[in-house]
Amino acid sequence: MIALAILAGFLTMGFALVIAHKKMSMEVSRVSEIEAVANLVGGFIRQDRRLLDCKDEEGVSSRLNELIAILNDDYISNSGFAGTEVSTITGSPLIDDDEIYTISFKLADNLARREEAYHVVVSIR
Amino acid sequence: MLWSRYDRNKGFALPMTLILLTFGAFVLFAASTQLNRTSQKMKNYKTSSSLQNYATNAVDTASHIFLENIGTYDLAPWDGVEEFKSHILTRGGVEKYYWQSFLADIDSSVDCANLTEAIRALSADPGLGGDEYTLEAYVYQVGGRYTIVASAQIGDRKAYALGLISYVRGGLMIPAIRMAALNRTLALMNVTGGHGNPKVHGDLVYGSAVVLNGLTIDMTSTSTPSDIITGGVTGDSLAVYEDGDELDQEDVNELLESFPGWYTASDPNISSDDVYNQWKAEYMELLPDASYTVVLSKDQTLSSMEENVMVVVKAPNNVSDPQFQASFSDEGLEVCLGKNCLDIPESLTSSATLSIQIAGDTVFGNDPHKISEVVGHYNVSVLGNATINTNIVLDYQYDYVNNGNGNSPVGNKTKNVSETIISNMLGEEKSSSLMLATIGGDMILKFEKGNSTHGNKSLIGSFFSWKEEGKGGDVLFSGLENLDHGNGHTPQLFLFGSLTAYSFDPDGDAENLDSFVAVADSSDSSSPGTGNGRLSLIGIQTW
Repeated sequence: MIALAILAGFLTMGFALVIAHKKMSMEVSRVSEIEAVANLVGGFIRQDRRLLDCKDEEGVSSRLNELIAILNDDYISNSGFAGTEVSTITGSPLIDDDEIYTISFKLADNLARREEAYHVVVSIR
Repeated sequence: MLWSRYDRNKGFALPMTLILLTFGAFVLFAASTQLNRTSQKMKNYKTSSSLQNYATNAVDTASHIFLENIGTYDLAPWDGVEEFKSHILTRGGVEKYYWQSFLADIDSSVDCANLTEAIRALSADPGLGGDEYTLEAYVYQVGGRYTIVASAQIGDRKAYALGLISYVRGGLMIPAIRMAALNRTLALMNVTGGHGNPKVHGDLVYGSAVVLNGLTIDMTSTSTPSDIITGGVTGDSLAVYEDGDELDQEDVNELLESFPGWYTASDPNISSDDVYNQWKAEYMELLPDASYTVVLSKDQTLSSMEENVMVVVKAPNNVSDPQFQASFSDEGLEVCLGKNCLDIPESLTSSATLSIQIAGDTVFGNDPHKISEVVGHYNVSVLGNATINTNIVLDYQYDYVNNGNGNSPVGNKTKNVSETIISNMLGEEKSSSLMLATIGGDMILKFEKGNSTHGNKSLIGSFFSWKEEGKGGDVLFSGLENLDHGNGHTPQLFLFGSLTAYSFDPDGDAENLDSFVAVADSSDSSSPGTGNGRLSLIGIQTW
């Protein structure tokens, strides 16, 4: 009887473990995806010629508004990451000369329903 | 009997249960270990990713600070550089040997600028890790460039990033040709006539091309599209002839699948006119807002210039429809209206770009067979037609167009020879630059039959033909119909740099042009800026 109870316990834990493993696997794939998208978006922002050619904070802000549409409408989904999108992008001067900015963007994972924040530094000197 | 069978069954259940329990325990242990390991790996992956991101941000920040204060740093060796080099060497793949070679000039005995304190002062910023990471940054001068090494560390985990600061000239990085319409089928280059009297036919775009309103290429079944345009093409449609027969769309798609990335369809929602106007707007942004007017009513010499002030050359008010004559030489640039000339000495343009605008139709040079040598940096715009009645060659490329014996090493050569020479041309250190644009006029390339050159035209620089209020914007050809195709060289246009126009040869005169070679300058230097350009961070590698 005790053996059967232990067996039942093992089976219950086993099922719980299978569910936890499935959840973890999904989590791993979502985290991998969001990190991949973060690298992609970070690289895109760093190399965006029009952003780098901006002359002031207003120009940076305006370009970031355009970038969010470009990234969400085409770039991220065309790269194979349809479940993730950029929810916000903001830029603030890193130092007072208004020529170097910390660009902060949040990636929203629509499947896992969570957001992660990332930051890249861009000089428009 | 029944009793003994019951006994056997009861004896079987216990070991079976124990086996299952043991098995279950192993499964649970293995699964939980795997979960733990996966969780740890994920954590490590995120940490590595963050470290690399902050190391990259540290390079960006340090390079910015360094360039703002260049020349003010005390230099001293950095012991940690050997650890950095070892770190790279632990990374797999053959790439590590390239980086080892790249960093051969840097070791712990070489002085560098230490920017660690400067970036740590900013480390509370979220872009630099919000004070959670230990940052370092050092800048080494290697020849005319700077190598910047930064690291981000948390606990015993460390990531390095390497940045390269070099001279870049601001302005446009553009393909070899950009056209809304190209009225020419680009054909595979081939040579007929043998060694004694070779005839070069066909076209080669060494670099990329943008032809918005349809491109036609003529190749063979044994060649590839890259044999005609090496760097790929962007456009709204592509027609392909193979061994003389036009391929249907299915075959074209099949061909393109074999060469992924070579053809990029342009955005159907943006008209070719809009794209062309965007190119034009980018060019116009490069022109200085301030200007200084010179009226050509007498001989004058420009004694000084400023890079951000454009010299506007105008005819006196009583001259209608002026026809200017411009000549480049090793002494500088001369712009004349009749007998009145403006001389711009070469010394003014050796270290700064002269922006000059000529308000009227202008003829450059006076002989299609001669070479106008451009020494210095020029951004010339013509408000009207620009007739190129010469060969325009930058000084550091002069020997490629004229070897001193009257021959052009680069003109009328087979594809293989052309590619070898082009490779050498791209490697030359750039000491001069030229942008030549028409605004509201056409660019007319004038050819003429001669005894030795037979209609080769070489142009080196960035050339633009801009449409303004419906006028101009075309590249036209003059005199091609009289050229000799039978003896010696066949007529060729050799362009090194870039050519941007609304349409190329809309009148169909270039049928008589046997060969068109366009080479994209790998780092288009024809733009405003100082003589050596400005220092800028041009790339980052992270480990």
